Amino acid sequence: MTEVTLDGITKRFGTETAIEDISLTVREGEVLSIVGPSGCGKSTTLRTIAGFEEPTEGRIHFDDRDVTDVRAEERNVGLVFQNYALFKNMTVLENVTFGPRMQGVPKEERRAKAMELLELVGIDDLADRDPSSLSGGQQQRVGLVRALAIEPEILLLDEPMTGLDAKLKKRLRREIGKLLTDIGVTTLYVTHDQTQAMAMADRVAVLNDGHIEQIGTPETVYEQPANQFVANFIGTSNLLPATANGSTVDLGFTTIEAGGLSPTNGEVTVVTRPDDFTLNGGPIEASVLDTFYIGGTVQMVVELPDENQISLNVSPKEVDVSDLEPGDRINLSLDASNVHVVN
Amino acid sequence: MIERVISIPERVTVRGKRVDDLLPWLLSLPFALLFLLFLGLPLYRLFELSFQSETFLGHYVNIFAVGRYRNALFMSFAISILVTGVSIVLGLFMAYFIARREFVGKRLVVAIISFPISFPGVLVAWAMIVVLGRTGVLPQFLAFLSGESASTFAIVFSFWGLVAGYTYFTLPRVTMSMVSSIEKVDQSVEEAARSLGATRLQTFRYVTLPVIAPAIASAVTLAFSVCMAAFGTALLIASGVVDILPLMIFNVIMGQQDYAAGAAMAVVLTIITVSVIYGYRRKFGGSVYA
Repeated sequence: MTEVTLDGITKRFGTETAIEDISLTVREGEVLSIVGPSGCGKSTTLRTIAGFEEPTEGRIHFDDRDVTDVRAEERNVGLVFQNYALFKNMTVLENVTFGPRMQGVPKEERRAKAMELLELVGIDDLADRDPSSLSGGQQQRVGLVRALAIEPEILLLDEPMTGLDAKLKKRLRREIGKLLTDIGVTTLYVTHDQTQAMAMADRVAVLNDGHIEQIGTPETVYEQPANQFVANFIGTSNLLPATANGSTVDLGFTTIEAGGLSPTNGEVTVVTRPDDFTLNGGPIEASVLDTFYIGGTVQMVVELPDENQISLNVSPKEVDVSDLEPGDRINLSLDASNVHVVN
Repeated sequence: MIERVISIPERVTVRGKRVDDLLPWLLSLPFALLFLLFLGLPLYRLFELSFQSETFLGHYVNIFAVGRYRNALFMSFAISILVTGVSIVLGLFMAYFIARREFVGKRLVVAIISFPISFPGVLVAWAMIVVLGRTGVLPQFLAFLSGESASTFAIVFSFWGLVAGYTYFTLPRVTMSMVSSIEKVDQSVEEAARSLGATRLQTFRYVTLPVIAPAIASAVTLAFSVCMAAFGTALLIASGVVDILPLMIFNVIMGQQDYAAGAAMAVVLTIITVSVIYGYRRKFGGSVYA
């Protein structure tokens, strides 16, 4: 297994800076996910590791080996594409054996290995089919197995599940997740979908505008976002302006204990999640703007006394949606134990 | 009991056939007649003429038996194959460059490359003479450098002059016909191959080439059949120097007034070009010119 290190990678296209000073380590056997909005530089980062973009500055290491100047075909990097990028002029088996064939692995050996891998993802019966006759989910399994067939130093997945339907996405996510854990290959998973990222990854790197906002476990980036961007991008957040003053944080309509959270005094932003509010006749008065019953949960948008709008989730068991009309007054309480303060 | 009478409207018929069915045929009739008149009849006459000899298939036999004729046929093949090869290789590089690179003035470059497509063969010959003729720019310049006579470098009235002229003629056609096909190649598929350890050459060989093969085959067919039949360029720069089949036909008909022998050669030429195009259609389907 390989540890992959990016050290101060910057890539400029002309005057445009795609990524700036990216430093991160994908640990041995770890699944690291890079998330961010489109155009944040995720793909450029991935292409730089794969060897298709030459960094303007910085070095890339696979363990102790500096691969910055190594050609793409000599890096031994497994790539899985959003559009599958299968070889249409070859069968499924030929797709999977292509890498080992280029590496000079004998025919029998590479075939046996490919069949083994296809069996692992449950499509060994499709070995002789044309890729174009396969469903999207099957094609992506072929793409994954093809990349794994070269026993790559690192597996790079570029939005591999975009374009698949929601149910299939969930199933594939579980399957791929298990496969990656079983094989234990170092993996970088690029996606704009934070749910995918959180579900698949050991750690998540949030990328924005070409630089890293935060790297941490899914729990860390969700519960302790480093800044407003991360708070907003990962999950749903209610960002509320407040004044920190020693041990308390004044939200205007209510005051909460800061605990050890507040890093400074003065103007801060309080990050609350939709689940932090309870509809239990607490001290915070709000008015209902909208309710959405989505089965299992009722999502509400309410307006606070300071005219800030927040989202909250309540259980349909707690509240009967049909009773609530826009404009109704409700009383909330805020559970401060999960609240996080950013500057 | 009420009897319902469903009346079927009477169709207008001609000898039992409905006029509706006949209409498309009637409308295509004038074109069919034109087609027969200007394609069928000449071809038929050519064919008929070519058999008018003292011995059975005499003119056909002569094409292979008479040295000059055989040589012309061979020369036509040689030039066509050579020019096709050169055009495809150069054209692939140019088409790749145009399809894959974004650069300032790309549209202008494409316009300049496409421009000679509209040149008549005579103009191509003229261009060759101006550049490579005895008083041409290049030989004059080389003569100035080396101190030798300019005619040493004037290759225009030779086999190689003809190759250059034909390449000038086919290269833009071949290039432009391959550009759109290369543009359609999914680059992520090529990147997939590279990441799997294929060199650029292997990627081209195993991944790109199979995808663009039909376009290359189409370009080969186009270049070969154009070269085989080209006449105007050859008349100006190779007449009397290099005998190729179209020039030979011209000489036999105009010089020797031997229409039958010329017809036999024309039939052979037609069979060659038509079989090349037919072979392409059998293998890849569709039109060479699409």
